[in-house]
Parts: sequence; structure tokens; C-alpha cells
Amino acid sequence: MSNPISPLTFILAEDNRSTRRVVRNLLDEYDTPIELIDVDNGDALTELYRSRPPGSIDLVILDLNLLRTHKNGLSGLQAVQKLPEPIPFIVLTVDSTLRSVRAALAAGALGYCVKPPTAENLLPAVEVALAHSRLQQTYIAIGALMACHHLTQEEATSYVKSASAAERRIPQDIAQGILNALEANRYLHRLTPP
Amino acid sequence: MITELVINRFTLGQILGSLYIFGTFVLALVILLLVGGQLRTQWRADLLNHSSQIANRLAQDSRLALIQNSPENVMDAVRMVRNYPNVERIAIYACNEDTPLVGSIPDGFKRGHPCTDITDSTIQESTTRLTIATPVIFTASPQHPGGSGTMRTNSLAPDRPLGCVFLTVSKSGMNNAINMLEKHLLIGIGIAATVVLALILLTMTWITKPFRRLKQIMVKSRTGQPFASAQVYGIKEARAIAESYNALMAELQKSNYQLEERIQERTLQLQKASRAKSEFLARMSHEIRTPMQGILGFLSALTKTPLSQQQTKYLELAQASIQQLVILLNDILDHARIEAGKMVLDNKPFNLHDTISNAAFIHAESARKKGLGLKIAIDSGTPNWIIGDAVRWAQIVHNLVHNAVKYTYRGEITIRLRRQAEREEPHCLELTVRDTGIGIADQDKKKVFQLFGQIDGSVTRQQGGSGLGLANCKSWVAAMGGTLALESQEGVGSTFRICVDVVTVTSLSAPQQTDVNVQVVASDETLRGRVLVVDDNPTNRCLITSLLHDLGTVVDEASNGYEALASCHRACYDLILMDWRMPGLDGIETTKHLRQLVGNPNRLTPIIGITADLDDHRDSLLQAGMNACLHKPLDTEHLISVFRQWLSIQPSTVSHAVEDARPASDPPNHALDIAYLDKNLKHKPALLQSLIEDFKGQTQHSLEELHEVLFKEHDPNNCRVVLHDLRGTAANLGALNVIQQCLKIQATLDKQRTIPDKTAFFELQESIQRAGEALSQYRKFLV
Repeated sequence: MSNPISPLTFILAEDNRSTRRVVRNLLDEYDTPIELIDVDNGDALTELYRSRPPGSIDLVILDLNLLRTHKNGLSGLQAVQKLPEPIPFIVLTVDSTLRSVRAALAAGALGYCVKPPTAENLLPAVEVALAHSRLQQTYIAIGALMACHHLTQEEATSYVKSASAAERRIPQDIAQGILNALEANRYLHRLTPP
Repeated sequence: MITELVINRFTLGQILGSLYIFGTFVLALVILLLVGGQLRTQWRADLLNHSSQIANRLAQDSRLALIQNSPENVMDAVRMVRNYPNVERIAIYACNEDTPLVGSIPDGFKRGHPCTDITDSTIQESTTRLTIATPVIFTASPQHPGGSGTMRTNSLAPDRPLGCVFLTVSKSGMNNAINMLEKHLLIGIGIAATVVLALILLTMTWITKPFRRLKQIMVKSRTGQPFASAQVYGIKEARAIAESYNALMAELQKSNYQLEERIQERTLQLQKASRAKSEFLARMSHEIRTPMQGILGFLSALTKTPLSQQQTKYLELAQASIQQLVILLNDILDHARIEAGKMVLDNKPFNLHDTISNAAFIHAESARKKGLGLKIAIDSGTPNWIIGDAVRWAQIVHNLVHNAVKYTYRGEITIRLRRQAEREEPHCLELTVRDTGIGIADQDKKKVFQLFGQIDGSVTRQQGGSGLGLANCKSWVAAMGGTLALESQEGVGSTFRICVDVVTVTSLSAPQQTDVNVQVVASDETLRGRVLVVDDNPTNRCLITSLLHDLGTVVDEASNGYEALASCHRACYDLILMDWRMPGLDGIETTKHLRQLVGNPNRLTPIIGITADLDDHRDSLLQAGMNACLHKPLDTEHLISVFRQWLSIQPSTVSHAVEDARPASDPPNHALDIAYLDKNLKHKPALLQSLIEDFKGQTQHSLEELHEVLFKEHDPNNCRVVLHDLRGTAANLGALNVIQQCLKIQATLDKQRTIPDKTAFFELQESIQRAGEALSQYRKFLV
């Protein structure tokens, strides 16, 4: 995500073949190349998400009624809520009731797209969700800075901003870098003998 | 015979079981008898032998005591004998003594001197005891060398009997033993028999099991259930039977299957052939009528242009020819329809008087030209509104009058309608067409109703015609259940008489159709309004358009259904003329869209369908929402009258728009969201193609699944899942109707908490099918 040329990785959790086809077709038109992984049930989604390193999935497009092929499995939202960490996801559903939207938002959805997915409703939702996700990353990074270096929020924020200005990169990239560094640090610590 | 009767009643198990039980019983009896008798004999012999020996010994031992007459001498021996088993009583008598030396006399021996007549061992036997009487004989044999001198000096003679010994032995021991033995034997046999019986029953069950199974399978296959092959197991016979049954059934099934296949193949072939024929007829009808329409229309249009006198004359001739051609063509096509068995009579209320008058009136002009009178006499008592086929009635009258005019050179033609018999339903109506023409000779009367039967078949004949008219008339009248008769005298005239039973319209089923009066509009009359002409054939379009222009209306054209829908979104029309056959969306589909599309200003605009087909699509056109239906070739005057009718009935255009805006609360009920498709998928034909394929496959699958969960599992939750999925699939292709039906079923599930009935399911199925067809058409249209 930090490098704009690197492809984005999306998971499309959708059990309807024709919807998958439409979404794939729509995302082909997106200006950044997207690697789209299909799953068709909640369990597969959970499994796939766990098998990937954290932060490697940029967005999950989730069908709310992810039940069909796996009737006893998890529904879309249940699957997402069972994951150990919050994931960036948008909801794709045929249901446009306010109740359903609220349920999705309560589960942490970053966007809501009513079927049928079209260039008008899916792509904006994806774009907004990606931006939100990056913003969240920035806040997490600022929080991490505060915790590690005992800074106030203002100090941490201004550090990120100054780093962004110095390196001529957007603050979100800096934040990603900080998070990556923290991740790396964790691994390094794990490697050293106690 | 009797055995057979008895045997036939029971199962193998029952027969063998009872035989076994009987056999066991007999065997046990025989064993008991044999063994018991043998044992008894053996034991008795043993007892006798034994007892005789004891008695003999006792006799020997008691000799001294008898001689000396002292019982003490024998007591030891008696005591010893008493200790023997079974010994019951012992008595020793001396000869010539009344009282016994030892014991008492046993029963059965005479009192007194029992020994006197016993010279040899005597046995007396009762059921319980055995008494042996043995004489004690004094022998002077050397076996007693120790005999005392006194004895020798005794005056007793040698070998004389001294007395006798009675030994009574009880048989109860023996009897008891034998009884015990027999009892044990019986018990043993019983146990053995039971065990063997159990074994036999088990074996029997095991043996007969395959037979029973086979029986079940056979019964099953007899009750019409699909053939299940019998399991081959069990004893050799059962296996053989099962195997041959399987083989037989397989053979039967195979031949059944082959037969069915062959029947299906034949049916398919026949259907194909029949369809090909019908299609050919329909196509030909369409192909022929369409250009005819153009010629007719434009000739008519030509008369309105400035023409020279000669041109006018030529034009009239051309029009006369084309009229003839139309009549001929209609005859041929009608005949084709009769031949194809496709003639279906309408059963709708219509105005008979008007129908007859109008049909006859067509010939008024030609009759007038020939100087003939044309009279229509309708009796006042005849019913006016009847149920039947107006078109056929008109055609019959038309043909008969046409013939009459053709063959009459002076005089008049009278058309008369009256009731034949004074009776209530069904009324018997008589329609006569009488002319004063050339008449028909008796020998030719039969010919006129024959196909292609013209009396003057020669080249020089005066009259043209196909010779189909009367034959067609006869077929139609016959189809109505009536008769067509001919009375004629050569040179005087002919009368065609039709008698038909008709059902009149009762007040309850009052006519709902408006009385279409064929009022000829003067060509200078102007009509107001805006008309949309939808026809893929430019000639037809142009013809109708020019006609409408002449009448003073504003005309828009559309060459197919999609264009028509687009035009209908833009403007509000007073009348829409819609061809039935069009590429892409056909007339029916377009009409349905128009009637169902919310927010289009033409939802209530009258639509008149135009069809050139031989098949009667009238009903399907009306069902689709059309208001009337016209057949090609279109007659200009008829067209004008129709325009006049519809344009004058609905003069206001503003009121529609207001009315249309209102039923917006109606759910959208159209098959496809064309706007959505145009916007999102029109420019992606490959995606569209694969989505349509997906749609067809998935909806089929979903329908099956839905059927399963709705009517077999009765599971509302799974049903929701399937519906949801179906909605997603439909939404991708803008199949609004399908979504609508899904929502309907879901609403039933959610609100009423009941499983919806099959109607809703079938509606969904139908909407899916429609959407599929519409999608295919949409894609074809794009290509």
C-alpha cells in the first residue's frame, strides 16, 4: 500500500457467481491493479485472512448473506467479527434497508454498496473505504508512537507530519512505515534469545 | 386334487413345518412302542430267569427242612432270598401239610395242598407280580453223598416231591424302571425335536427369504414403481430365479426404454414436421400479406394524387385486380388453415345483424355497377347479439354474396336472416342468400362445394376465382355445427341456405366489446391526435403514416420495440399501432412493457396490434394489453374507421398523463431495467453474454433449490438464503420483475410466516423465464 505502483490485494467474499463476475469486471477498470481473491463462504474467508500476514489485505468486499455454499458456516458479518483483528471491509448486498446498513456499520464496515454493483456505487465505496483504512492506519501509527516514545498526541502527530514533509511522502505512507517498523521490531525481538 | 387344494393354500414353511411336527410325533410313538416293548420283554425274561434260579436254589435248600419238617433249617436260606430285590413273598409247603412251613400261600394257588399238582416249575403272572412255584423233589442221587443213614433207611421213594416253594417277585421295580426310561426317552426326543424344529425353521426362513424378497420386488414393480433389481443370494434355486427375473426385467426395461425412445423420436419428428408446416404457412401468410398491404395501400394513396384520366382508369383496374388477388389469397390461406386443422372458432359475443350487413355491404358497389339490386332482410324476431365467430360469419356472407354477384347478370340478390323454428336456446337461425343468376344444373350441384370446383372448368369460362370460396364456407358452417344447403334451378337462380344453432348473449354476459360500426370516413374529414406507428417494414410504416398524415394527425414512427419504448418515454400518444412481428422486442413484449412501465405517459394509450399471420394471435395480443387487433392486408377504409373510433373515443391526451402519474405506487412489474442495462452492460457484450449465461444456469439451479426448500423441506430460512441469492443474480442484469417476485415471496415468508403457495413460485418461475427471453432478445438486439 505504501508504494502506489504495487497492486492492491482484495478479497471478494461473494457466493454468487454472476456478482463475482460483475465485481471483477468493475475492478478491472480501477486505476490501480488489484489482485482479487475469491472466497465463497465465511469459513474460507477466515482461513484465508489468517493465512496472510497482517496488513497484506487492503480490502475485503463482503456479501452479507455469505451462506449459500456453506449453509452451516458463518455468515459474512459473523466471519468478520470472529477475526482476531479488525479488517477493512465494505459490504455488498442486495438489502438496502437501514437496519442492514446499521448492522454492517456496527460490525465495522467502511462502506456499503447495494447490489447490483455498478461503476457508480462500487468504485466510490471502494475508494472511500481504502482512504478510511489508510486514515485508520495513521491513527494506529500515531498511537504506537505515543506508546513507544511516551509522546503526547500532538507531538506524535507533528512528528508524522514533519516526517511526511521531510520525505515528501503522504502521512499515510509514513504511518505505514512506522507500523511496518513496529512489526519488524516485534519479529527481531522474538528472534533474540531471552 | 385335494392335496393340491390343500397345498396351494399354505406357504412352504407352513407345509414343511406341519409335516415335520407330524413326522416327529409318529417317530416318537414308534420309538416308544418298539423300545418299550423290547425292554419289557427283555426285562421280564431276565426277571423270570433270575427268579427261577432263586426259586430252584431255595427248593434245594428247603429239602432238608421239609424232610425234617423243621422251618429253622430253611430260615437262613429264606432270609437270604428275602434280601434279593423285588422278592415280595416266600412260601414253602410240605406235601400233605395244610399249613405252610414258611410264609403263606400266594394268591392264585388253591388252598389245601397246593403242592399236589405241582410237579414242575409253574409260573403265575399278574401285571404287578410274578409267582414261581417250584416243587422240591427228593432225589436219591449221588449228589448228596453226605446223606445220613437215617435218610437212607427212610421208606421214602426217590424222586418224590417233598413240597413246593412259592416265590413271589414284584414287577413294580421293573415297571418303574421302564416308565422312567420311557419318560427320559420322551424328554430326549422332545428336546431333540425342538432343537431340530428350530433349526429347520431357521433354515426355512433363510431359504425362503430370497423368495420373499423377490416377491416384494415383483409386487413393487407390478404397482408401477420403477424396476428394482432383485438381490441374487440364497440357495441355488433362489439365485437362479432372481437372476432370471433380473435378466427378464432388464430385457423388458430395455425394450420399454427403446420403445419409449422410439416413440419420443417419432413424436419429435412429427412435431417438427407439423411445426415446420405451420411455420411455413404462417411465414408465407406473413410474406404474402405484407407486400400486398403495400400495394393496396399505395394504390389507394395514389388515387388521392392528381392523375390523368387514363392513369385513373389504369389505377382502378389495378385496384380491381389487387382486390381479386386479396380475395383469392384469403381463400387460399383460409383453406390452408382449415387443412392444417388450425381453424379455431371464436366464442365471443358479437352483433350478428351488423356483421351480416357489413359483409353484404362490401358488395353493394359491385352489385350497383352490374345493375343488380342488393336487399338485406333481417326478421325482427332474430337475435342480434350472439356468441360465435364474427369473422367467420362475415366471411361466409361475404363469400356467398360475392358468388351471387358474380353469377348474376340481372335481377336482385336477397340476403335474409330469420329464425327457423320457434324455440328457445339454442336458437336455430336460417340465413339465405338468394340470387336470380344463372343457376346451377342438378348434376353440378355437388361440384360447387368441392375444392377447386368450378362448374365451367374450360379455358373459355366467364368467371375467375379459385373455387375455394364455397368449400371454405361449407367447412366453416360445419365447424359451427350447421348445414349449408343449395337449392337451384338452371336459368332461374340459386339459393344458399345456412342453418345454424346459435347461443344468444344473455343479460348476464352482456357484450363488453364496443359495437364497431364500420363507418366510412369521408376523406376530407380530419382527425386530431398523435399516433405512433411501430412496424419494422418501412413500406407498411410509410403507408400508414401517409394515411394518417392525410387524416391530419401527427405521426411518429418506430421501427422496433426498443425505439417504440424510447418514443413512448418522450411523448404521449393518442393511439399506437403496433406490428406483431418485429426483430428484437416484438409487439407483444413491447405492449407488455408499455403497460407495465411505471412513469411512462403511454400506459393507458390504446394500442392496436397488426398481425399478418395465419395463426390467430388475437388472444395473445389482447392479453398482452392491446385494445384491438387488425389483420393484414389493411384496408384503407377499415383503417380510417378504426382510427376514427379510437381517436374519437380518447380525445384527451392530457388526462392520460395525469392518470399515469398516479399509479406510481404500483410496484414495477416489467421484465428488464433497460436503462440499467444500457448504462452498465451495453458496452460490455462479453460480460453481458456471460452474465446472461450465468443467469440462466443459476436461476434454474435456484429455482430447483427453492422448490426443494419451499415444498419439501418447508424451511423459511434456507428459502430466504436462496431468494437473496436469486435477487443478487437478477439485480446484476436488471431483471426487475424477478426481484419483484422474490420480494413478494419473501414478504409472504416474513409477514405471514407461512410457506407461500405454488402460484407465487410459478410466477417467479415465469418471471425468470421472461427475463431470460428478454435478456436474450436484448443481447440479440445489441448484436
